[in-house]
Amino acid sequence: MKCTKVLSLFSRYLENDIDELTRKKIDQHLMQCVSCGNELLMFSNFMRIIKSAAKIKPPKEYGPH
Amino acid sequence: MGGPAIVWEEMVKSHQHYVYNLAYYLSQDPHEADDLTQETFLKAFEHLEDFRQEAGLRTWLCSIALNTFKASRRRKRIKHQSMCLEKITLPDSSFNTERIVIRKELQWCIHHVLQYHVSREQKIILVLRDLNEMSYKEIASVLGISVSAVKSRVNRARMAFKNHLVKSGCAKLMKDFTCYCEGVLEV
Ligand SMILES: [Zn+2]
Repeated sequence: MKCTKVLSLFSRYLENDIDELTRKKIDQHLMQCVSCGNELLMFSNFMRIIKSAAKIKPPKEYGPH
Repeated sequence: MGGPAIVWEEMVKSHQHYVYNLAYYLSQDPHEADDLTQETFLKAFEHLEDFRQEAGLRTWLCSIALNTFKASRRRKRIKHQSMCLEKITLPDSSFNTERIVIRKELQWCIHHVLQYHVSREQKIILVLRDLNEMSYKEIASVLGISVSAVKSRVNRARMAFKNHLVKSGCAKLMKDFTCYCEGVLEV
């Protein structure tokens, strides 16, 4: 599998939304490709970070006024 | 008497944070986000009879918010300026459930990048998926595209967000909290 293909499947890989064969191919690639391995690490960190840092609490209660 | 008011109250209580987050990142302005959220719930209330149960309430509400925003802001261009951290008040995010300690500067960068440095399409995708934590099916129905298209767009949007934060944004922002990457976004 090529790097671009691996990168395009990161979300599905991390969200367990992928078939076994594809997962194996990605795992194989990650064992050989340091660059994609680093990318995956950053990618998963940023997925967590955006979730926890970007959410905003509404400043008030909304209602029919 | 009472019936619709109760429906309204319940609906607003459990869904206002989804709507507000979408409104906030779409409008890039807390006051406009406020108006957009209020307008979305008013429209929803007026058209409660159009709501189809199977569509899911938050899908419906997010669609209303998105359409209301698009109608009001067609082709308006916003230029963002460099800003200092001191001048920025971060919106309240204490509401987060995940206990990750994030430095204030980094949090600022995250808001900033999400506001100004990903395309509108990517921003909407990130808010719906990562902030509102909606399913791919729900997002597909809000955007009117296929589930597989949503999946690849989510991946691309996350990649764009990460790349910007890593490559051009955060490293520079960390030094003096000034954004060097001014840009004009179509919103
Ligand atoms: Zn690779």
